[in-house]
Amino acid sequence: MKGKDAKKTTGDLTVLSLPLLESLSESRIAILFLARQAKEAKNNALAKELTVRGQSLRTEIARLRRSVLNDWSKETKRLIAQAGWPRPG
Amino acid sequence: MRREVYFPLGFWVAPLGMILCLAACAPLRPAPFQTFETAVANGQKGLAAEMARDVEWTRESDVDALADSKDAPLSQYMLKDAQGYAWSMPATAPHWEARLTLRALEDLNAGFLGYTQLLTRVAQGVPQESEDLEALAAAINKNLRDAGDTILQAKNRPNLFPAGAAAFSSESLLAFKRQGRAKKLRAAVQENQPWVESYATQGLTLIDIIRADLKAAYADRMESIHARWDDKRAPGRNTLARSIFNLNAEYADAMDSLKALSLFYNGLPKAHADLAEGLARNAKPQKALTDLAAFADQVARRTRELEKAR
Repeated sequence: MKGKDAKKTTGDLTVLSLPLLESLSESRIAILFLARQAKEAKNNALAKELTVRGQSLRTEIARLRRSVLNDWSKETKRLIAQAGWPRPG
Repeated sequence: MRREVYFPLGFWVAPLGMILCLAACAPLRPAPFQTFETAVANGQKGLAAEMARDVEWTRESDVDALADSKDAPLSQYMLKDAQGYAWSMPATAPHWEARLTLRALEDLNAGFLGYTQLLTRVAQGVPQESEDLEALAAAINKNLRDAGDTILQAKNRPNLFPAGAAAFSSESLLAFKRQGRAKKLRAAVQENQPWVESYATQGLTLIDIIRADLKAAYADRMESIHARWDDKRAPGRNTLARSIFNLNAEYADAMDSLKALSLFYNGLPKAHADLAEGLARNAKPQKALTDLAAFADQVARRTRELEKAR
């Protein structure tokens, strides 16, 4: 149901944004790891630089996450509207 | 003396019709429907538990983010208006969005579970008053409307439900009750197949969202632990070290659980289609349904472990 099939019912925004959101979150973990290694190697300048990059990723992750959740809610609403039973009136 | 006895044509035709009907109409076996209902209940419980974990993790990272900034605009996170039961806040924190998503999921799940319960009841053929079915229908409908309200609350929009919106075909299930034929039940299940596919896709999308969310929250929480570790004034290294190990263990458990959930929601549509196939004449073994039950068991085991750990 993922990938091609998921497009049948999941909004386009989610199909595009969700992999990006996860990829950014994974990058943030990798950057955090490198920043820690730099700190342990006493390279404080590099550690600081990486921390700043991690923070800017965090802002982008928060923005994308909001749009993905909104899209999921919109799709769920559509699904619920289809499922209303018994037929009113 | 032999007497020739002539039977009227109807004497032959009526039993023949009955035999043909028995051959054509497959028996109703409620067991697959019960299996489906139990599997769905377990799968739903597992996904709700993981969404609850997402809310908790996101909340913790919101706490860290707010606590880290001395100049944080606290007014954004307090009640602006409080009149009667109504209230509003200038900003919506990420964990609050996750919380509303959890509520919507719970309501949507309740509606879908109601559908599986209705299928089981109909397949069991338990004599029921039409009022019972109407009550169940009303409960399903209420859950779905509640889910809609929660979403609308999240998006701060007026109620957009069209008065005549309905496509979840339980009307055909009621027709089955009247006519009592496997063929009718089969048609009703098949009619709902697209809805079930959409429901499963929503579940899979949410699993992807939770996975991404947990990764983001992991980074936030680990960064916060590092900051406290590096702060020479902060006491309690043992506590921080324990937090690191706990966070890693929880992350590993969550990924295992989400993987099992992904198998479950991927298999859900095929298992639902199997229910219809099982009602056909010369029905084949319902492999997808068996697989779904196995995935649901895996999910249930992990949910129990998560509950035990709390």
